[in-house]
Amino acid sequence: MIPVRGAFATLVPGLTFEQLTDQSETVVSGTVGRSWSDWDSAHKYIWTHTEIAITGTHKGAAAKTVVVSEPGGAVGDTGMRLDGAVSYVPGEQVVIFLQRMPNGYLRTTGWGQGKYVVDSSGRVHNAGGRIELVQPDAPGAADASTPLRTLEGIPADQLRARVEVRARGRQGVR
Amino acid sequence: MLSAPIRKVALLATISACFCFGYIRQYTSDSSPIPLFRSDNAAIPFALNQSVVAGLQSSLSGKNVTVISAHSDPVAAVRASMATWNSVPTANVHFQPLQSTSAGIVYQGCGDTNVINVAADSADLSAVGGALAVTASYFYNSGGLGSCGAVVAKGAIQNSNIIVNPAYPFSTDGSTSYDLQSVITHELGHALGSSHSSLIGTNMFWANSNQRLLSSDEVAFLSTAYPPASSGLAVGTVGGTVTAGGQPVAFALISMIDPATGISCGTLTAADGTYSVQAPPGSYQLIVEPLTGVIKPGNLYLTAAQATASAAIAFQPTLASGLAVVTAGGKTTANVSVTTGTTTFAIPIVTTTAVNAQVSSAFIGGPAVVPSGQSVDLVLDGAGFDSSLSDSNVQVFGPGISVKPGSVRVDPTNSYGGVPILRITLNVAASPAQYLASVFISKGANSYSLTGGLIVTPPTPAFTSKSVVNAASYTGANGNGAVSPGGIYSLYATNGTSTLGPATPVGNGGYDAYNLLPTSLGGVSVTFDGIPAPLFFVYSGQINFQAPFELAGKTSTQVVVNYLGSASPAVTVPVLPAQPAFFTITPTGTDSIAVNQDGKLNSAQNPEARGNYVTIYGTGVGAVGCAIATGAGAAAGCSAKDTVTIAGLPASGQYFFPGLTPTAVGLAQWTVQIPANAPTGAQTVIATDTATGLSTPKGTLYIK
Repeated sequence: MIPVRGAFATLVPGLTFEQLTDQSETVVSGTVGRSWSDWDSAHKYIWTHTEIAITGTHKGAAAKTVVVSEPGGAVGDTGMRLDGAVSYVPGEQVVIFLQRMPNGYLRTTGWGQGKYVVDSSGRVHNAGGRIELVQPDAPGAADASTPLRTLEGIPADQLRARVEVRARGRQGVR
Repeated sequence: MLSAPIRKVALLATISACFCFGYIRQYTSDSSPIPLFRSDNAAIPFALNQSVVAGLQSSLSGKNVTVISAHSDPVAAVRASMATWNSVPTANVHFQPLQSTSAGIVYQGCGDTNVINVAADSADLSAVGGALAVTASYFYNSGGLGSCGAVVAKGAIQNSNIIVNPAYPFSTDGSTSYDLQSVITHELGHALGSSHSSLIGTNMFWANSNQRLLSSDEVAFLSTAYPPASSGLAVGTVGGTVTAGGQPVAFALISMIDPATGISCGTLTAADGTYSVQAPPGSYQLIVEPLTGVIKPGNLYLTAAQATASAAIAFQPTLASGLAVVTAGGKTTANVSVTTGTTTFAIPIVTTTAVNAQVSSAFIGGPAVVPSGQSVDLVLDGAGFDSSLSDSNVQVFGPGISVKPGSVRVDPTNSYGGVPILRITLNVAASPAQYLASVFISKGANSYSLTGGLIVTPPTPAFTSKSVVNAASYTGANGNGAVSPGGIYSLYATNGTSTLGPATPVGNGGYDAYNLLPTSLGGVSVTFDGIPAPLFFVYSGQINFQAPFELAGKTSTQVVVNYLGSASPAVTVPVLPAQPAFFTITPTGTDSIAVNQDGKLNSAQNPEARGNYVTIYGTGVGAVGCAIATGAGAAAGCSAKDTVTIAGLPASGQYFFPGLTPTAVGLAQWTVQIPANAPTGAQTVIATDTATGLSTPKGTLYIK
């Protein structure tokens, strides 16, 4: 039985939208499918792997599916809980930002900050709360970064478009 | 680290031994979840990897990072974190003295050590992800024969490993944004099976705010999960049902706040909308909130089904009408009917400033630190927090905290994201202890609750450089204060203030589990360039401490006093290589504390004979001929290079010994033979450090 865990962002520094996008290898829209748990190759940590059926790729190489891995889960009688791991529920419609881990797994970027659930009206909601240390506006200065809280409840298409614009811009820089 | 009895004193100063039984715990991950727990709760071993030292560098994350700043003391920080949990008197939890290990994070399934380490390989780094730190707890998902061959209970934690992210710069002295002690305290809470707190200002809130102390909410967790055999505590029960239009509200946050004491605790309603919390006698304001604000289902380990149930009814943060009165042994029913609908208030940016002062930084959703004993501006920024609000829309819950009449206003000169900020001036009475206060704002049908979001701290400790003096001579140097390595010193509060610690003096109980004097006492700590000083006693007007040996070679040091989370500004104090001084019988007299050859106190009535030995006690001899850890008792033979004169005559003798008193901390002694030709009566004695030429003030010996 695969445990269903919450999305946490414990002790995680807040990211801006630009940081979230730039740090992600791929950003996709899709539907959450099956999941399973297993030990990592070092037999140190249990990870839960979830397959996402991709409906749109907004950054990174296009594919039909992607496997998202999050630490924690249960193998046999041994459970492992790692506070902050993100959960995926079969059937969820999501826009997810994924980062390549050193062990090769693709994981949600910035913990809960990189998972947005799309509601029935097509708007996105972050699954985990987040906290950010913020600076006030400098007099006369335009703030170039976008706090993630401003994305709450926006249409999913708008989020996707923003990601694609950002991703193209970064490619141009290279 | 604090010794057992002192730890309890410290806690009393922190939380007044008040708590509730509620809280939110971690659970097994099967279809019949039960709370996780430790069966080794009375003696939990933890080891810190020996590579975690000041100045630790790592490039594992792909960038070169000083993971532990140069002047930090990670061992002391972890010990302090463990002591914080050990200090809860209403729970049966004790971390054993911290061990050191060369082992990294491993899982063998049997006999594993609980390890704290900085991520050391790709597996660790992948697990920690972008977090500051994580705790990986392995537990038995079903009962039966465990991996070690013994029968185990379902939910028992096998072991827990704490992995620190090498991508972030940590410190223990405030020199970076990431405080190692508060992070480790939080992670140890997870290792104990704690989930996250629903109160924003707590250590176990899901996001880091450098909160090192435990609130009544964390104490509630510990007291619930690990109750002592007999606590003798008087508590009552508050329970009821939360409904919306007659329908039960599942998995709603429900917080209890006693405005008179600041005791705050929180829990969740069950699937049927019911809740039950035990709390000490008092009158409690109940606040019910949906999991759509700064705390979401994911932050509290809710399952998908529970999260769905929690979202079934949209409702506003709701203030229960009236107070729930709890009596010892009593049962109080407090049903709450919430207001339906979704609030139009945004999660605001929250901070505090001096009245009308510029804003430097803030947290989204809180918390904010409120230094007591003054007026401060609570700053809120976000949709709904605008000029339509006035005093009548704002309620504040906490002892001695109130809204200054007419102070709710928009500040047109400061903004976030182009939105002008709202200021609310709070009058905050001086508080001897830290507590959490809450703010509830309502406008029409909409409301917002900053539950436990204000961390009210004691007044800022105030002292000056001049007030740091040798504990024997009460002097500094050159019209200023001074310290010397290893010496015993006193730090006094600025005249007219009493902000350094608890009103009642708290003395240490001797050495701690590491054979060191404690560096935290009664909620007070003192640091020198980030290095914690061993403490002898503390109270609101004075702190006596040992100046760390690590000050050797410096000419000045930055001194900070922290009392229950309220830190003084750093004060620059000169460092002398030595500052020898004799302790005296009276503060203003010169009669030295000296014992004669027969062990009796030297005095006018009990003079010592010429040719015999006396031992004079003092401090401030500076460098000695052996290595001693700060806070440790001296070994035998730690001599200083001093000379002594009595009545102007050189004095030494076969058994002459200037140096540190064996087994004592910071105490010096000069054992010297009285010259045969010394005059009788009251005679002047002076000791001089030969390396610096610095001498003691004149002392007096009585000779016959």
